Amino acid sequence: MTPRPTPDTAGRFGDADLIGTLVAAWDRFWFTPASGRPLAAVRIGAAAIGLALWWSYAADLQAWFGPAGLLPVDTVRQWRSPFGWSLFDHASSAPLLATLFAALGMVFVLLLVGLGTPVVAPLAALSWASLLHRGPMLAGPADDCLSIILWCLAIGPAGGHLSVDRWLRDRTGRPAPPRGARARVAQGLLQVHASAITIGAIAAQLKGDAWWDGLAAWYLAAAPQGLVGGLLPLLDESEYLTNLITHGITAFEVLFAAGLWFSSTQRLVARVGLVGWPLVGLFAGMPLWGIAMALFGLPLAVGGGTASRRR
Amino acid sequence: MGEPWRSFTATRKLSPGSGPVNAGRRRGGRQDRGKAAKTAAVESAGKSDHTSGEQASGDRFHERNTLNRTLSARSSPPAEGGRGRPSDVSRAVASMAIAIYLVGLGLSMAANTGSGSSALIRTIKGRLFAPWLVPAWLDLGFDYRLTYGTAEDAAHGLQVARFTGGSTPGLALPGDREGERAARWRRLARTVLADRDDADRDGLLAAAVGQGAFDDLGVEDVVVRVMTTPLPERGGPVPVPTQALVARVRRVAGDLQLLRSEPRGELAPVVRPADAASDGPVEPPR
Repeated sequence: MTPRPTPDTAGRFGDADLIGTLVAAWDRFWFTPASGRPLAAVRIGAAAIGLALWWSYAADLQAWFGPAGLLPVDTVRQWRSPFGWSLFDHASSAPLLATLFAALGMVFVLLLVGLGTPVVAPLAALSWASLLHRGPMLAGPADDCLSIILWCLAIGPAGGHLSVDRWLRDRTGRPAPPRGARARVAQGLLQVHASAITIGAIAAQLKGDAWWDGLAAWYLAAAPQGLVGGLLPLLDESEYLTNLITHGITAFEVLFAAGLWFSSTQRLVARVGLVGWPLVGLFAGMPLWGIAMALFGLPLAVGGGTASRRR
Repeated sequence: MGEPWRSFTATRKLSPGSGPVNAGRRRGGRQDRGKAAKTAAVESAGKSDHTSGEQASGDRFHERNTLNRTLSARSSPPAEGGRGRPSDVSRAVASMAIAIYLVGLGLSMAANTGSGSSALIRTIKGRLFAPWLVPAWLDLGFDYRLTYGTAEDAAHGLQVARFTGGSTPGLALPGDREGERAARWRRLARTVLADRDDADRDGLLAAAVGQGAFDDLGVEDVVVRVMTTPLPERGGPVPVPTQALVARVRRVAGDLQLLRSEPRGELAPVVRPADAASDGPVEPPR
């Protein structure tokens, strides 16, 4: 005779089922083998942004970090977090500083062409963090985003496609790199950060009245460092247009942060992000940040998301 | 003002001086068992076509294997084959690492907002996560507000000049720089100003900036100014830059000194009643 299940027993079955579903979803999200091709596209974009940001340090490098620069090592050590560490702290002479800096540029070039990527990608992440720690007060949103992307590239096999590494592999007759879980982990981290950064930005923006009264777009255009000052006469003429752009930016961010998590929308949202984020970046006077944000969604835009895996 | 500011150019020197573990080999044990069982079931079904006596046992075998496959599908996530899927141990380790990182990410976001953070979150993040998130430049709050349309969004700049004037032009930063390069100078200027409100960092950067300009300006007594250009009001006049911080930096007998003077605009006004005598007692503002 079969005993009837008690409510407790039934409850345990329900919990186990829920936990099992969650574990399976977690497992599917993080460990379903994925192609490294989307990651290779991110690698190329990140290296290009990295070179642009690296170049923005080049001209003033000695003025900031040189032996008699405006930001002496001792001062920066006192100023930054005690956990901060920089290889550039040890550049005690101008030539050594220039050499280290040139080496970082070379690392980005290697990352761009995809040569020695398994070593170069972690090296780029470490070196970039090291440069930022040398002058944390100089770093901006684009620097932050690049740092995250570089660490994601260090985790995943970013050199398996569209790279010199791949070309060499093909020449020697070795097979193409298989789909792997590391690529999926890296893409998953990019997806998580895309949402997290957007949520952080939305939360910060909505603390200001300008994002509620719809005038933020006007202030962005009117800022001395803004890049869309040419739109100011148009925005002056039409408050509705100003409101539309302001609320459009907020709506885009909300849709981007949420839409990445639904298989039915993630590809569309990521593709819209490829255009939308650079436009937002341009409006905000931070074009490189906009491009970096678009890179976070690139794997989903080119078919690296859960939707494509299910097919 | 009126000093002949010149841009601080770039070329000018400031001074002389697991992988997938067993990828393709392991192929997910449960699924392999399921696949093998399926093959056996097909073979068994084929045999049963020819051998009627084995029909019953073949059906039972088929049912058992169908159950096997069902259980496999439930307990293991669907995948495009087991190729490239890491082992259970690798997945467990990676899951733990990812989960810990995600907690760190959440705490970093909560602890690095412009609105401040609770002591609890600061402590947990500071003790458990900052030691490994900070060196990797991952301790970030993503507090990217873009604009509030307020004084906080003013464009900042630095000016450094000889305290006693003279013919040597001062430094204006970012000057005529553009793009990300100019943005870095503006961030430096903003930080110099913001450090006024931080007891641990107060004057640290202003002194460093002044000291760094000694050789360039040829004196050891300079004045550092942070200039702010506020956002214009809609329909209002174009704002002019104002001094937000003025600090004199000098070296006396080998010691670096920072003497700060508050701009007039930031001093509290003395309010007197209109009918009070000029030498009468000052009344507090109502």
